[in-house]
Amino acid sequence: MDLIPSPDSLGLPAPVWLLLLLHDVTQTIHFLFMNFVLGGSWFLLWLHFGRKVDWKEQLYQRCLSVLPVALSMAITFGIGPLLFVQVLYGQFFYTANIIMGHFWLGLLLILVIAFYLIYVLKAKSGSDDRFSSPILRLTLHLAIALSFTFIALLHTANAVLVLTPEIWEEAYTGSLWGTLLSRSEFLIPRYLHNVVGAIGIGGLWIVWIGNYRGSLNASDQARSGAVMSLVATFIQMILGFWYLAALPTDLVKSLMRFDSTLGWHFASSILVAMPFTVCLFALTVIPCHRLLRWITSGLGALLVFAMVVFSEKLREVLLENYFTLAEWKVDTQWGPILIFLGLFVFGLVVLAWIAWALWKGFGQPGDPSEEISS
Amino acid sequence: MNYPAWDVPHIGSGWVIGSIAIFHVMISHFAVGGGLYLPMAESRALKKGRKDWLEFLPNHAKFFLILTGVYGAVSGVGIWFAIGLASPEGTSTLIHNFVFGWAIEWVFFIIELSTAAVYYYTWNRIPERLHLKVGWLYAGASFFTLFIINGILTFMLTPGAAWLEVAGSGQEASRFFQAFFNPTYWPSLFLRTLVCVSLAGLWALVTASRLDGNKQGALKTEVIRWSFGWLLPAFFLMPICFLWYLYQVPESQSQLLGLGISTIGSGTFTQVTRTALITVMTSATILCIAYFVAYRNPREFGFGYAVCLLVLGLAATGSTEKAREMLRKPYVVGEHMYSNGIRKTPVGEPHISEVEKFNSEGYLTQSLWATEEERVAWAEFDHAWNGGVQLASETLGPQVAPETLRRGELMFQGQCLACHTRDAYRSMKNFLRDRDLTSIRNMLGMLHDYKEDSPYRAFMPPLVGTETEREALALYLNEMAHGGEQAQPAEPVHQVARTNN
Ligand code: HEC
Repeated sequence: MDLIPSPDSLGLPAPVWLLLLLHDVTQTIHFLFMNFVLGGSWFLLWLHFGRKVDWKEQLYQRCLSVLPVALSMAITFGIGPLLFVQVLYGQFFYTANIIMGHFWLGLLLILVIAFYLIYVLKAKSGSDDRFSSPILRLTLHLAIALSFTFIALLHTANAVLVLTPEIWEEAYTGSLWGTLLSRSEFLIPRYLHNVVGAIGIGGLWIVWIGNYRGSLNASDQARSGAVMSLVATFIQMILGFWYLAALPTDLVKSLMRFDSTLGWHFASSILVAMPFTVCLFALTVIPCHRLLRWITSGLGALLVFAMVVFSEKLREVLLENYFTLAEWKVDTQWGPILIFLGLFVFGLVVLAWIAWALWKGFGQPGDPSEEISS
Repeated sequence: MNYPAWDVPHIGSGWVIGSIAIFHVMISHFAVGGGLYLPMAESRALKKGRKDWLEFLPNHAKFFLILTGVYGAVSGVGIWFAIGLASPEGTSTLIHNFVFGWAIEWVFFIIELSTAAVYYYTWNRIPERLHLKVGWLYAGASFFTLFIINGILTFMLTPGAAWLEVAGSGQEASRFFQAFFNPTYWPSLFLRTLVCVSLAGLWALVTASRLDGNKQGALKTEVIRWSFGWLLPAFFLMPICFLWYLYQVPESQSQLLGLGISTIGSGTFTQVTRTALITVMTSATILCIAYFVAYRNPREFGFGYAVCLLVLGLAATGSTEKAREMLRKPYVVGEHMYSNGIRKTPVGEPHISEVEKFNSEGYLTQSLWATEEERVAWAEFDHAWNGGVQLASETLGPQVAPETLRRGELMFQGQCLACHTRDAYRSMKNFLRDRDLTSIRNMLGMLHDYKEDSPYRAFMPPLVGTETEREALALYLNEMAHGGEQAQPAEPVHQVARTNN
């Protein structure tokens, strides 16, 4: 029996392309921040073992200061895709949420706890007690990194449920995880792809932090991030193949023949991934090269965007037999849309103005990062 | 019933949403009021050349930043997650109507968060005038988050005639602004703004209470007295705004409150009145404590008292939100959709409401969460029933078939779980303890008929479904309330025993 709730009778308040665009852009920004949170929390665990070395200690402190800010931004920018996915795919999304039930809401509980633990860790990480209670700190680091990794699993599980209405009934009435593991081919590769991808982009953040004003051994700091990125990116390629192999055969075939837009989306992600990998490699050699850093980061962001767009397209194709976005009745609310876009631009101007204010403030003597971390 | 049910044992989904919402409201309203408090305090300090004030403010700002940036954001997302789980139909209506409202709010929230961060981090680092500008920008942005969300919240209580006119026709999108600036929009905006201002004063008292009364006595006195002033507008203007608000609430809803007030003597308070009274009493207590303890003896005003005030503030906020929620019953979107997601207004073709549709076609024929076997068993049950034969009890086993109970359970989950739990909050077991099957049937009959004078109309949606579905619900409820007991119903029970097929 067909389990999919009927699409909301209100229809869409904007054309599909606009909603998709907004979804993809905000999702990308969300991912960029999330990647540092997830990748960075594992990186911090590694750094934590080397705190006797001064540059590692400095990098450790700085990453730890950036972490809660990035987390706050990741959450805030996560609201965007959360809004737009509900508009476009509400009938799938809510059902997946309900099937996950307590796990879905529990995600936020874990998030709050992890957030809090970061502050505990910060309070306990002053340079003076850098050698104290190693077990406690190790536990905190592990707990934080594992929390984020688990949150990623919950998100992936939800996304996979959205894509696979055929397993809903079993997952709802029977065991959620058992069903997901046994009936979904691509839960695991997709999950690993997300996590390892996050580590790959997260490494770039470390390149930037390592190059921040006043760094000790800036090239060592930055290189550690670049190496993390590069290694993750190589693993990512293998995972990519696994993920592809787990998708329905017809779909993969058409992908390879480029006879659908999906194929072109796929090709464009690969096209961005190649120069990105080359640049990353160069970055491990000359980690403090300014232009290279910009180019690599730009490509990284573009790659995330390309992946998001591909993923969205994949969702359309996988759900084709159940529902297509073209089925939506559209009644565009131009007034509110224009207000939103106008304000969005205004917001960007404000952010630029703020950046200017910050630059003015921090242009003064004294290293601000030490202040921020206190 | 399109969506599966999110079944939260004991506390019920309503409380899950409620407990997240209380904190979120407290935090977000404080952020709005605090957004105003900080630049006002700063500009006052600058004008009067009071450098000592500037020492106490950064601490206050930091606290703020963490509170909004962390807990405000997470609890906001928490509400999203929770309402999507508990009432997907209602959430879907709201998001499809107002997604750009939320998107606008979101832009303001991002500005709010960034300016809050900059405001804190640039203290004493950028020119004073510039810093103050950042502060005002922060205040403006946070006020506008309220300005937007208020439209959506009030819409749920009073969507307004313009929107209701087109509700269900697919033309809803065209009435965005009428729906947004709905009848209760302005009074509610004033009310909430007043609450924000007083919460800002309350939280400022908390920060001030930590100043050392001996070392910084003069400063502490000043700060406390000035912050106390922030509590006052609310206490004088709130009653007026509240009456204005009630005046805009449709009569059927405000009756819930009126009923309580006019019957105070006889002791039957409605829950709305009770909760509203809690708000009034806690608010009065706050004012008394703040005046007698803080204002009169500012130097001695300690952290303990401050926290006490805060807890009272939480109680006041919580009960107000609760009263507002109760006022909206039995709707999630006033006059359009009931709390359990069933639409009252006709949707699509044929032009009949979901209530009529479910009554004639059956509620669970739309439910996608029953197995094939269960459907077969139900059909048999219907068949036996439709045959008109009152199944004599002796031809049936003492047990109700599990498929029938399952059918009743699905009815319960779909139509009652939004507001009741089985055994704890608004417990079904409790309500039904003294009712036997016949009386349960009568009660359900009343709920189904939903006559003009039915007492249930004020807070419960009509029970929908075919005769046999309702019978299954009755059997299920009976089993829930008296399962295990030897409850022998007075009438022959309509059952399809397994031996029967
Ligand atoms: C919109 C929310 C809502 C829904 C949905 C709802 N109820 Fe209620 N119900 C209430 C409220 C509120 C009360 C009053 C509680 C109180 O008095 O404490 C109540 C009271 C009751 C009572 C006690 C009334 C009495 O006369 O003793 C029963 C029995 C009951 N509900 C059954 C049901 C059943 C069965 C359903 C599902 C078909 C249902 N309710 C759906 C809100 C709801």
